[in-house]
Amino acid sequence: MRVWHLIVITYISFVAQSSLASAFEIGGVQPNFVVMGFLLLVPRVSGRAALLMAAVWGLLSDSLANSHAGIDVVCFALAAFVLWHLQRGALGQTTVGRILLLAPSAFVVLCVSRIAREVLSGAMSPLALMLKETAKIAGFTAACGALTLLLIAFRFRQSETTSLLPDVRNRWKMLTQ
Amino acid sequence: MPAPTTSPPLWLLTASLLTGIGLACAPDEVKTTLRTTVRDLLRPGQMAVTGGREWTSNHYESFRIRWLAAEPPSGLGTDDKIRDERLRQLQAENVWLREQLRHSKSVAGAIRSTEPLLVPDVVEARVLGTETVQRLRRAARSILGSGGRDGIEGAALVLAGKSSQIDVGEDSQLHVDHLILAGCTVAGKVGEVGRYTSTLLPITDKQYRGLARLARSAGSGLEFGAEGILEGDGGDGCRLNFIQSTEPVSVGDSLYTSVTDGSLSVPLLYGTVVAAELPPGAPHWSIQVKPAADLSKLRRVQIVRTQPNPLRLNAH
Repeated sequence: MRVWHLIVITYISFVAQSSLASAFEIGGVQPNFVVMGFLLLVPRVSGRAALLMAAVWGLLSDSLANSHAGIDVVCFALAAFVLWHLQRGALGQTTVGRILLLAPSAFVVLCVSRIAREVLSGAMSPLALMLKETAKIAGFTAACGALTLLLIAFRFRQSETTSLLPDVRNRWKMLTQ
Repeated sequence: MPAPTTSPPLWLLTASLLTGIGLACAPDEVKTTLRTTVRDLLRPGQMAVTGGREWTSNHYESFRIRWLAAEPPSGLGTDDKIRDERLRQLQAENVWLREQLRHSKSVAGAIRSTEPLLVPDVVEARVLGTETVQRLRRAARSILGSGGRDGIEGAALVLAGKSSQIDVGEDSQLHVDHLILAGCTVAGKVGEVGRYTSTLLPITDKQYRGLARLARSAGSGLEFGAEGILEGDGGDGCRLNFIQSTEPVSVGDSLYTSVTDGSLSVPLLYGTVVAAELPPGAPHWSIQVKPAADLSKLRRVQIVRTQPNPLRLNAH
């Protein structure tokens, strides 16, 4: 994946999160396009690029937050490190495996970020309530991510099938010669 | 194409973690500069998205009515809202006129009252989106499409956009600026200001503070009562504090900005009292206020900024 691809996807993810997430709200729950984009991109880049991307995305995410800065840089960096290795295992080799990793990854990233912010603010909300709310957001985010992965997998499969079809012109040429 | 296999180096992970910790310990000015810079960079994309949503929403409605033979939306709700707004506007103008009359009577002879040095002005801004990360049960703050380049300053009042055009009569003796502001509802204040964007601190935010006066409708217009401090409760409402227990308060009373707070000489509406309790022996009322502005549906706002009075400048 080229650098300008990453820059464009970064910009689109953050614009979508700040301006469009409310349009996708269902039952008071909005997806987190930043976390979704991050989890989908990490397996597709090298380890070094994944960590750099995590630091930049964490920095941008902290900049758009109205609470403590630096938390998402730490969360995203750790998540990139762990997820990159998990995706190299058996689960990460298939589309289904990657989809199954999305929900727990999103849940852990969102949970750690929220709990850290609550602890640092000094006014901790009930843990059970926080976990429940975060699980809803993580589930919605993972569902959006799964849909995206399936669309990408379907698109690549279609392009592979098309390239396997024989070229009709070559066949006609072979028959006439 | 197979995924890259170079594993993430530990030194880079350590550097990232140290960067995050360093950012957490950085001074507030650094964090504020970083936040405003990022918001300014995202502004073009956000303007495109919000513009597209507005265009789609406007054209979808006309498409539905024209091609799907759908019923036009009932004007009852809209008419009521316009009537309420007009009533508030007239009440606020009434207050301003009575103040002017009282002031002119108190000045003896032919002495003309001096024009104020600063007068309010409004800048219309689009709501571009919200901040991305919020704590549990804390509303995300909105991002506005105007910033320091438009003369916006921190703590400036932000008003909810009007649903109707102001009808300015040709024989009106009132200043245009007061007509623009009269009857408006307060959505909050400007929080952080960048070059091209700023954030909205809604009146329901725990950090919001403002002077406010109770008011109720009487035969001659608005009757103002006690003055207190309005603060957000962090949820969907606000609290009005420091109203003495000897003051009359009742559910249904309106809450307006104090005209002694800043350069505004017309009161602006905060909301309505929905609960008022006086615990036995307590020195102050416990008052809950419901905001008049629907903060969840804000698309456009008006930001009040002060500018030098042209009449004072031309006089020299």
